[in-house]
Amino acid sequence: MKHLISSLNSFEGFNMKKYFGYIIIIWSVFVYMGCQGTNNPDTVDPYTQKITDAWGAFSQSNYLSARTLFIEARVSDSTKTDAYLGLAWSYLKLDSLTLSVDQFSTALRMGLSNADLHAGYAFVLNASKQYSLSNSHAETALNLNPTWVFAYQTLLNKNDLQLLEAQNYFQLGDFATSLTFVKLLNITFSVDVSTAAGRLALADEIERLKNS
Amino acid sequence: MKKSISIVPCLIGIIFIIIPVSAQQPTWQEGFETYTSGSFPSSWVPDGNASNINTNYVTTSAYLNGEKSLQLFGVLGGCWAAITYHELAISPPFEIEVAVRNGNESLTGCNPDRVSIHLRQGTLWQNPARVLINFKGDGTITSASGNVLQTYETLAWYTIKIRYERPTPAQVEISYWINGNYKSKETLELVNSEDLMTNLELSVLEGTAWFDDIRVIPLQAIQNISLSEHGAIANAISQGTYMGNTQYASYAIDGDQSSSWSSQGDMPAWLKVKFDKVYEIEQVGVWWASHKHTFSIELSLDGNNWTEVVSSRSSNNSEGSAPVHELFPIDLTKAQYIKLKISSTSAPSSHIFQASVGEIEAFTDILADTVNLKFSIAVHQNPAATKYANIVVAAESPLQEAPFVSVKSAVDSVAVPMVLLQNSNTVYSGSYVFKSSSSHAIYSHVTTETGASKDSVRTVNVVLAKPAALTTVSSLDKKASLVITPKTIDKETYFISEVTTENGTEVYSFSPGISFNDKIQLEIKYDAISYTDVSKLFIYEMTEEGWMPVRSQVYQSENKLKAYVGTLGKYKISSNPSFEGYNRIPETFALKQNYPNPFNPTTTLQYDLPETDHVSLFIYNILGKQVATLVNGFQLAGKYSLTWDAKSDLGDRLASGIYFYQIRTSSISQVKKMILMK
Repeated sequence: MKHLISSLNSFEGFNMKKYFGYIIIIWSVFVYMGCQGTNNPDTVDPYTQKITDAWGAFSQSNYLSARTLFIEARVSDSTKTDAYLGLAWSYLKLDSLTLSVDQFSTALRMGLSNADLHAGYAFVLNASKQYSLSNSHAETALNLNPTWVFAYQTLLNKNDLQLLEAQNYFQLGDFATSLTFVKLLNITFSVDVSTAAGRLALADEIERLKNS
Repeated sequence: MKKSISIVPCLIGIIFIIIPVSAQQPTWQEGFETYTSGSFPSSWVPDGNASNINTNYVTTSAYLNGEKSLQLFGVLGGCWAAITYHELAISPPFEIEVAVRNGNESLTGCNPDRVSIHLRQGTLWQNPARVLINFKGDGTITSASGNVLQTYETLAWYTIKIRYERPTPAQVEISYWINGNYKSKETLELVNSEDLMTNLELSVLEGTAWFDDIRVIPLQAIQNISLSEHGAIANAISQGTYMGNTQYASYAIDGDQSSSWSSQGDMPAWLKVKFDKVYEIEQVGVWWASHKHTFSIELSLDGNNWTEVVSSRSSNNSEGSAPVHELFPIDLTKAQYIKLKISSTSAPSSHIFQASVGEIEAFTDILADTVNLKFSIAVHQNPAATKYANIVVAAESPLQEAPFVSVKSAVDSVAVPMVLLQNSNTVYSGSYVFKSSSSHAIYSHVTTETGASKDSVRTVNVVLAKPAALTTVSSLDKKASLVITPKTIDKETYFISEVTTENGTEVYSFSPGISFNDKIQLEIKYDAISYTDVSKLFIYEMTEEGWMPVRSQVYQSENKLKAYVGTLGKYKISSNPSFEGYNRIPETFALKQNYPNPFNPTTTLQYDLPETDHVSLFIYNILGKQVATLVNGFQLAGKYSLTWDAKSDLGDRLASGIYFYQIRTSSISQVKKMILMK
């Protein structure tokens, strides 16, 4: 070793002491940066990261992954409502209507009340044949955000809620109110729903309706 | 221990069950809906020119109901009629209904008449026949005896109803209604082999004619609904009493001619009956008791506004003769009330009963409800979870019970329990969950309050499209399809396609009508022989303003049109003769020479683009410097024509000289020269 150092020292123009000095400085910089990284105040906590990843999976229609991530998020912090909301939507997409209803109602009980919650709840309640309750949540969603667009599936918007309400009122036998919602989507549609022919035309129009 | 079965009581039991049921149905009916367009209906026997399939076939070009009719063609200027037969399968009395539409060709043959309907022995035109009705070449409709019933227009539908009865073994009675209006009743002697005429014959002596909605109905289906057993209620100006027995108004609707209503000395007098609901009345009748009367008969929908259907006349009995029956065929009239008004009587003034009636009758075709019944099957999908749906059956008249609905898919066949919705006696709903991508047949069977029934099948193609995948949603006839690209949707979506026909044209429906990320490519194939100039074909979309054309591309080599749509709905192909452009997609690329050339200051440049591509079209001067940009972007396949005004990209007028225009696509580059001469 001595022989090697002496060889290096003997190398033309090379100062061994200076060389070790550079190494120490560089090492110190790396250590400092590493410590800085560990203590970075911008780091996302595990719950938030899970929620972000879960909605990302949901947006790409990967509902199984979304469900798993939302459950993990819920495990990491069961006091926050986002996980329940995401889980409810994921269950809706996975056709687990009862579980979806459970998660929506839990989020609601925990105090969450935004348009995404009430809109999702309205859709799952319609699929569960609870038309009156579905209408109630659809109304709340539209009151909270009259121009609602579901951020994680932007094709779903207020028009879908209005169509849902038209369907719900039709199922409840309130054909006049159903017609009112149909006219929000097609202002030119007009029938007399007190007649059998009018109700028949309304049924066909709800199926035909475009959600432009 | 063996159980013994007695065959005879068993058979009697079966017959007992069958008879009342079959009495509720037409013996047979024919709308030609089940046959393929262009074929001759297999249940009918062709004769004469009807054997020529080129001119005699099931068509969608004209129809009264549904989507098809039977077209027959008798040779013009000749003596070779088109004839077809169908076994009657019924004994008198019965009714035959036929919808007829005559063509408008000029007639010059040996039998210059149009449609003729007969009863025929066997299936040979030479065999004996009974004429039922003729559409003469002079524009009149004539009866079996040759009497003119009314005139007719060509190319218009007429619904003919013929009642055929045998009041005695040696007589025939034939009654006529045209478009619901009663025309006449004729009593005729039998013709040769009348009893052997077991076939209905439709014939067209010359020219084209169409037939639709044929029904052969047993006369048992024509029922008296003015009976207490049907829920009818009677009242009268007064009810006479004799020896302590009241002659109630209800005795005139009890189905027993020997029990009668009588007025308590009142003259004039009236007897009124309210039916359980509105009916379409085609005949009224009276069984007279004891006295001869002068009378009239009125019908009403609401009990306030009355229409006289039998005007003042004398009854055909005589004083003291009873019971005597009189029937009066009338124009089809919707009513819930009938009133018999008696203005005079042969009863002596001292007689306690001035008016006396055994029965008052109103007859309706209870099977007419079956034909007239309209109902719809709608599918309401959950907008966020399209696999969940409600199937809605909405009828235009009340049903006896919830409709039977079943859905058959590639996976299973399930019955959908239907529930009557609140506040309606005509709308039913049941829930259904789509499980697979396959055709789904939604079958519905409804029964009217009068017991008549009707079936309907709605067949749709269901396709589950997943995000980030390429999916094609085709109609069941494979003529129309949507291409769902990976970008189009961001959620799993059950698409539904359906083919229907409107006025002989195929209409393709696609749902759900939600918004999509991208425009969706729609392709519809067309029948090449149906269009002479395909360059004017468009895909039309049903909008709130009606059918509107969308920008379309015609791919003639594949006989199809393409368009890009933002939302889904109903589409069809149609020609737009007023369109001055050219929709046909060229098969090869071409850059054409500009015209005029030389030019000053404008010229037209044209090119054919066989595929959608990025296109640039630049102008260069003689030095090779680019001076103008005419096109630079993606263009749909098609023919393009544009005008250049000799201005540079900066808006400057360019100097006279030689210029070059160069077109580039992803695979082609071509240059041509032009001269600007001021």
